[in-house]
Amino acid sequence: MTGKASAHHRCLTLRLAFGASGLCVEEAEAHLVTTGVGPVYDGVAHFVLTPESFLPVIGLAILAGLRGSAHGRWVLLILPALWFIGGVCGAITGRLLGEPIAIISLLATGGFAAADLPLPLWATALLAALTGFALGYADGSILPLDGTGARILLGMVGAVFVTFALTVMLILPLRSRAARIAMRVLGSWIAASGLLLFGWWLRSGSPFNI
Amino acid sequence: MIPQRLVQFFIFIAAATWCCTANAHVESGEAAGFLSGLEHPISGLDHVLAMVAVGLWGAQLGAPAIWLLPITFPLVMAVGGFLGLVAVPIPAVEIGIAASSIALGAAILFQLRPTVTAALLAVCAFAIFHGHAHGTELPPGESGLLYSLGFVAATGLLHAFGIGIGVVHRWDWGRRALQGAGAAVFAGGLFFLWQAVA
Repeated sequence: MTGKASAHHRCLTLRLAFGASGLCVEEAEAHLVTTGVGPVYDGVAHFVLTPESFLPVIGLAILAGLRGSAHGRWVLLILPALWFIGGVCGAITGRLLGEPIAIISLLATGGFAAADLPLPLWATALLAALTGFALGYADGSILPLDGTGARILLGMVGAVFVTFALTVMLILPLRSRAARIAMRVLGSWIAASGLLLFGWWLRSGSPFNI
Repeated sequence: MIPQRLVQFFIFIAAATWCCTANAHVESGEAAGFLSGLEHPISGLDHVLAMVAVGLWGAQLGAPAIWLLPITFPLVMAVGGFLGLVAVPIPAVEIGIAASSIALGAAILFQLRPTVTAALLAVCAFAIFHGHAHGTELPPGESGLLYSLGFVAATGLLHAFGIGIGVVHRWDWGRRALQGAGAAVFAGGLFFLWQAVA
């Protein structure tokens, strides 16, 4: 066998081995936390894919939307700002309290939206501030402490702003009684989910593992 | 002899088509949690019957019951679900569920019009039984929040279905049809009560 033929044979063997390894590939089990398009988009994706964060924002949007445009404007400013501050605090202290924060946020925002209480502006703003800070804190506590953490947080805060703005924009023009009742029903679903999450949390024994 | 490029082509195609699915960046159980939660209330006819009956009765009673019941029921049902999740026992849950169909069916059949408070209290009592049954049956290892959301949404949609049917109440023939539906719910409740007791 000539040297050229031997090299060609080795090359073919390697290619076959590569093909065989392709056939035997295993499922990828890695729990990736990045989208591959940068930390800002990772933050956006985290918010959108985390119902514990997403649903209270919807609940707040329903509450503010049912109360009027002044409530919507103030919450639009306060919620992302406090989310960012809470995120920074969470990143610094790093103590994760995700489930209790989510439960309280779901119960408070959904409950107030379902009850359609005539809350004064300061009360809505206070609820938005507490919710934003608490959920931002929970998000911040899982952020990496390198330079990407701040950009992930910015992505989350941007997603909070856009989600709240779009939702409240859809709710504010609703004038018919049926549409407002439908919004209150959605609020009751959010609160009910929070109460059931509380039951799940107690059943799993998590209160003792904080 | 087989051309080398053809061999390479087939190896590439085989490698590309035989690969297993990559599960990276998929939060396992999340979608299953929501879908199984959505499916749970409609998996038992006794629950479906009572949920639709709540909507029918709300439509028959008119405002404000027609909108108070769908707002209150999920919240009170969640209280029952919470009790079930944390293993607080409630006696005769299955009998309570069957009794809810009997009572709601009778209320629709005889066009009972109690005060709004009395109607709310009755429906809330039934909601505790239904929620407790769901709470004790919740499967482990699912996403708690998504499962709960699906489960609550399905219940709410069953109420909406009942309210939608109940719109026929504005016509004479519709009122008769609603009474017929009430009789069917009543009979279904008796059947489930017999099953629960037997």
